[in-house]
Amino acid sequence: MKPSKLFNPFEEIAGAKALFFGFVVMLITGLTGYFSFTHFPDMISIKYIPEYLPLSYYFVQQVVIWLIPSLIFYVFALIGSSSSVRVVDIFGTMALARFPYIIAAVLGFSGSMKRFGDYLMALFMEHDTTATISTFDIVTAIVVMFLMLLLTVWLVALMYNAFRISSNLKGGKAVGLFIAGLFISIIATMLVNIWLYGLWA
Amino acid sequence: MEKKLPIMCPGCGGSLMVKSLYCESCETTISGSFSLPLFLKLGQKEQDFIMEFVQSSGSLKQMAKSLKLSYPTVRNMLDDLIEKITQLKTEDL
Repeated sequence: MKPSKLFNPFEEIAGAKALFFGFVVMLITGLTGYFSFTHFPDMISIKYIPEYLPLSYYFVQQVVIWLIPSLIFYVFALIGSSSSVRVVDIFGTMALARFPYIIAAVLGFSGSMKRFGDYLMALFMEHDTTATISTFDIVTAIVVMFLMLLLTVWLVALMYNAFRISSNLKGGKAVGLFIAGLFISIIATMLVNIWLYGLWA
Repeated sequence: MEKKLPIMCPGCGGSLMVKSLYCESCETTISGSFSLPLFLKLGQKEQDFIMEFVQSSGSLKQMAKSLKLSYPTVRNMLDDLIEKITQLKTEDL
């Protein structure tokens, strides 16, 4: 596979095919997240919350972080593009763009993140100077955090290409509308997820 | 090797005109100043795209399948081509 395809598979896959694979991606991410306690509190964030919540919550969360941005980017594409924009292209490519977060959900299985979080909480919030953590956990937690940062960059690049290809927007117009859409989507998905968490937790 | 028809001047980048036409069978040469047809002012890839489009009976879905590209990618190529043709037509006026 060419490296460019990792960031832009949409030149070859879009529409209903992308939507189908996107749903598979969301199912796998939701299911893996359920077992690894990995949450996606907004469109791009990854959070580890070791608290039992039903499987349906994880699936609904996946739908929320896909549906809201897709809707926002579809409206922006209609506003900015002179081409005919198909709903299935925006929603399909946006769903498929979420595939890097399968890895994020798998990374949630690393117990080091939890232990590192507990250590920081004890040290800075509870001022417990007796709190300890192994060097292995610190190194693993830092590596996992770095990987998650890379996954976020990968996701944003994929979403930008999904938006650009589906709407036939170029240059500054594409970048400007994408940044605006991204910003609104993050806030909207975050607010809906807070409400969702309140319903389930 | 198939020669490529130059459409831009290598010296200044301006549009080229046809100055003479030659008949291979009777060796007649016609001189004058003829502008290139719009189709020939397009690049090779764009000409190939138009040919493919016609051969696919204007179906972008069929074209996407044969080119192994997604539908929006092919539609974007067509939109860009329409824009270029409009631009060339405006320049000709």
